[in-house]
Amino acid sequence: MKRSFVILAAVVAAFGSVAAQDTVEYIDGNTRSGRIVGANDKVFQLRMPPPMPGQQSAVISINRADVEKIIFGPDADFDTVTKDPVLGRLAFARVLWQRQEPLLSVPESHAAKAGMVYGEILLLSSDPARHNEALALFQRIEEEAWDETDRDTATRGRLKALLRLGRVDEASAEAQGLAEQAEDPGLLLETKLLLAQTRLAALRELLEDNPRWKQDPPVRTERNQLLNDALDLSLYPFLFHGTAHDQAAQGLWLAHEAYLLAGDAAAAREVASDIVSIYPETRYAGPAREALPEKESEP
Amino acid sequence: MTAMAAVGPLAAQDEEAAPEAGTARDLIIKADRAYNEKRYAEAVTGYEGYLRDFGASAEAKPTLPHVRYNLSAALLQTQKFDAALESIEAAQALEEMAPEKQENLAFWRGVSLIQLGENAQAREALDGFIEKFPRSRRRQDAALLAATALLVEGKKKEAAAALNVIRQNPESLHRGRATVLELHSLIETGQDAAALELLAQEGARQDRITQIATFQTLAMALGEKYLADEKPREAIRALQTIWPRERLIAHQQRRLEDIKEQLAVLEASPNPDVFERSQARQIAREVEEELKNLEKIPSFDASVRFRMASAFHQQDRYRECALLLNDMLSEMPPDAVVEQASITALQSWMAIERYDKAVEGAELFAERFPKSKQLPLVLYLQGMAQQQDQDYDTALATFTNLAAKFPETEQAPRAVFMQAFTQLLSEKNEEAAELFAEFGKKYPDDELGESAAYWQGSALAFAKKFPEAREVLSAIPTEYPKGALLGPAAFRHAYCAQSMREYETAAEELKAYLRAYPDGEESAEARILLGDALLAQAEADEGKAVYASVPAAAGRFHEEAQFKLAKVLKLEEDYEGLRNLMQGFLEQYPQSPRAAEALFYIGTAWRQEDQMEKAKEEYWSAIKKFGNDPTSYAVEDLFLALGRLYQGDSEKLDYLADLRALRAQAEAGEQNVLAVRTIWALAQAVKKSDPDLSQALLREASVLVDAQITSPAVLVDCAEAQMLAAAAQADPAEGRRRRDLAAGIYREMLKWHPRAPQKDKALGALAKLALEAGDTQTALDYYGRIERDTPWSSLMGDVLETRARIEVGEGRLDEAVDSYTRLLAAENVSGKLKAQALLALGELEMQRNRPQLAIPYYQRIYVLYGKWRATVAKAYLRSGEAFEQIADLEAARKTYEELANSEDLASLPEADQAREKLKKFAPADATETSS
Repeated sequence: MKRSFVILAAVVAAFGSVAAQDTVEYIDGNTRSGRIVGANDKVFQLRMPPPMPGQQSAVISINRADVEKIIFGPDADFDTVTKDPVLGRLAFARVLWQRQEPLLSVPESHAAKAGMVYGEILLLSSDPARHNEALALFQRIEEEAWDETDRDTATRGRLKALLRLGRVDEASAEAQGLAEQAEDPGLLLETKLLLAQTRLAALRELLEDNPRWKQDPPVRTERNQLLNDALDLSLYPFLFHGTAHDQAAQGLWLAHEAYLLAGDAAAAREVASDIVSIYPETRYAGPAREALPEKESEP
Repeated sequence: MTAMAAVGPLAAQDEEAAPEAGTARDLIIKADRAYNEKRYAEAVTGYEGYLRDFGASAEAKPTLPHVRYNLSAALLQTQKFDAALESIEAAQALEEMAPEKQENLAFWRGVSLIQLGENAQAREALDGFIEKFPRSRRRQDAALLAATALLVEGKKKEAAAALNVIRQNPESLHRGRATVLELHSLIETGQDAAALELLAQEGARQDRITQIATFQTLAMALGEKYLADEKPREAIRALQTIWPRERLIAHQQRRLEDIKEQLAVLEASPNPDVFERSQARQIAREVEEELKNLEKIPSFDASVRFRMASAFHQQDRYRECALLLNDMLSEMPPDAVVEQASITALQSWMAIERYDKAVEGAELFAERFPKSKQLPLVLYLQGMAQQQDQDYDTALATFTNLAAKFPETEQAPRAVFMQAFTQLLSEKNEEAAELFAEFGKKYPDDELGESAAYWQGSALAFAKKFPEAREVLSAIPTEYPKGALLGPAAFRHAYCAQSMREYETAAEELKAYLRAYPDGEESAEARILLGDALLAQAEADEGKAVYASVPAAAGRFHEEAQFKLAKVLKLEEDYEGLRNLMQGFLEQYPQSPRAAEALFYIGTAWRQEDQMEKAKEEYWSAIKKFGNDPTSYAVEDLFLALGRLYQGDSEKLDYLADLRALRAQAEAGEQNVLAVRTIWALAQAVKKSDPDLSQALLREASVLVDAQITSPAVLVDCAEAQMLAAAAQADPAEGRRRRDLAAGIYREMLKWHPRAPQKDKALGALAKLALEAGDTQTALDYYGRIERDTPWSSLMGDVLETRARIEVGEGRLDEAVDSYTRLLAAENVSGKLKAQALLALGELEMQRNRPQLAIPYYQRIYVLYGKWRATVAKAYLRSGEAFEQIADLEAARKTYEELANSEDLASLPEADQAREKLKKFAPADATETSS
């Protein structure tokens, strides 16, 4: 009952924000404003604002061939989900994505971003079926999104999905290639973090398979290599792009995990303290604070 | 600057009909025109002329507000603040002055006072303005100016407070500027915590600050201050608000472009808002200034990173420090700062044991600073890193190079010492001894002299050159009477005598050592050696007493002494003493891997006294006590030893019955570890008499084992039993199930017992299973692990042979050659396999149409591996064929003849083939044949 209510609320919220407008510019110079609510190969569907309060709004079909471009207005629902992509917003994010999905290849549309935020939320779940759904979603965005940056970001999303599915080697090999090619600093940070996650996953797997790794020199060497790689990559955003708060904090949190895996509690505390004191506004600050002894958690 | 910007737009004079020249009206109109056309000096002259000539007249009175107002503004524009102040005050005194003009005049007065350096009066004026005109659009400007006045006055704390009010006002136009000024004031007044708080609050929205580079420079200053105060975490917080230079420049360039566009619009306007225009101009100037400053400091990022690295270094966070410096050093031009930073990076890598990175850094340093005075130190660190990484040959080369290149530096003697020590680590003891001796000659007064002498003696001892070692070691007390290594040297000296079987000398010297160093590091070992020396001289009582004196705290030496004592007691047939000693040992070390050995001694003691039952009791008692404890690793050995105590069929049946009873008891008591061990012991007990039952028992145990707490020996036996059963299984599904079970046990064994002696068996079995499943890559991975982890394995020959066959099958011939070559070099490989490997190598060369390279492989077979007839016959035949291929028919004929005429090989088909081939050759020259 409660769950249905949340979903219903999400749906209502998703369609509730009619104030923001999209503008369709026709080839002949005319324009029409409203909200794009759907599309297929041939037409866009535009929900027109009601002519007067109390009246129903109408949805009209506009031939794609007649459209020069669409200027998409801001989307408050999308902004809300992006700001705080938590598992509780899964249904809401799905509705947003479904609304945008037909516009994936339409220039200037937010569809890819809506898809990716939905994908990120799917990855927060512990259900492998959701991870598979995310994988397929990112793949689709990679193939169909109109914007190259979105396609690149979707590639990273797909690799995260592979990681969540335990396909570490596959993700790792591809991430390595991406790190070597990335030129844009933002994407470089994302890729470094992704690569750090692959190393961390491989390290976790290695330690699970070799609980007595200390007794096994080759495994010890491999463990040290993975740990060093994971830490060097995790710390990269913090050390070299410290003003990229979210990525720096995410990296520090990964380093925290790596240090814990390495049994180095003191170093783990150091990086948790960094998060609490330098990036208190990020979503990693809460767990970092919890990871610290009480007196240390004050920034 | 701000003051000028604050001068507001002035109303243009209405156009009227042209007046007569020289009249009062004419003067005002001309002055107004000059004013409107921004010829302010001319306007000032005009207005002042009017006031001088007509100002006192009654007719002029209505014009005075306009004239005085415009004059004040023009004076401000010409920056004549003294005169402006006077004019403003005169204007303010006019009752007829319109209220909006009074507002501006009040503001201008504050501006003028600031410009004249009358800061206190200025603040008073501006505060008055804010109070009087709370809704004025210049209110925010006035507040900023008042705060700036405080700053100029040196009242920085008050200024910081005032600026804070502006900064906290979300509607303030001057938030950005106030932020920068407040930060400056806070740093200047030592309010570092507040400054840091400001950075934390504003850092995320600093892109709105016009003087963002100044803001970030201040952040750097604050970071530096914290560093000096040894508050590294705070320093990092401050420094982490700073953007990379590239981003900063791009941001300011974008901003400048925006402002210029905005300014162009304002300039193009027929009636520009002077205030707005002035402000835009000022922002443009500030941004341009910042960009110029940024261009001047190309090392901006490096400065930030260097400070960050210092902060991490202060916290002993060497990884972060090294990562920061490493990145920076590879990109920066070489200078003194980079030079020092490189060394810090190198030391940081060393501190976290990243030796590969340390070597990389040292090599880069040598490349970039070939003439640096620090190069010897860097080379020394490089050698140490290589040594720590066990790359001894390279380390040796580095130390040798350092000593040769920089013989006069303080690192040279250390390098020579480390050359010798590296040799010692790589077990080249004689070479090490020579180098230590060289050190002594070259640097007789060096502080490492005593160490060199000690290690020279030790290296000679390790090389079994005991007399030479004694000579070197005996000189140490004379040469270094107050040395730190006198004790170890005396011990090693005695040790050499012992090794030379000069027991009397050894005993004397060991006693002397123990008198001088009763608690010395080698004292426990010395006691054992002394015991050995005394016993060798038949001084048993004293020898036993010495063994017994090895303290329990000596760990393995104590254990060793106890067993040496046990051996003596056994020889002396003091069985009671032996039992007591070993029982004491068991009580003290119940989980020792030598517990079985102790029990064996106890059993032997009882046996020697013909009390076999007592011996068995001891074993059973120990098994019952420790049997369910997974950390008691000797229990399996106890079972094996116990089994041997039961002689004859009847006793063996009793033993089996007892084991079954124990198993039932363990299962009833849910003692799983003991249950598995007992089933395994049962399997061992019937291994020869009833192998089927033995296998069945092991299969039974295999479903009960928990690898984490089960001995690897038991695990491997269980898995092998399942593999055997799978091979014999007619039902494929059942066979598969058993193989899966075996694979699971092998994998778990590898997981929980990485150093088990049975590791190669597990890896080999898993490889075999993978091959059976058609997964050659996984099989090759397992083979790789056998080669890497268990080079001693007796499976090595089969492993390499199988690997080579797979590689041949996949067309990877070079790799196959490599695998066969490794097989030939490996120990523990049978001659048969080696012969087959040589044959295979020959075949590979034949396949590649290189018969001349195949021949030596074939020849090695019949020269070295004559025992393996079938292979030898093949080798002869193929060798003959290879000779034919290279058209050396004489050699071919001879080879066939050798094969055909060999008695050993006569029965093999290849001999017939050789005879057949010989038919096509002409009969050989008689002399040659006989030869």
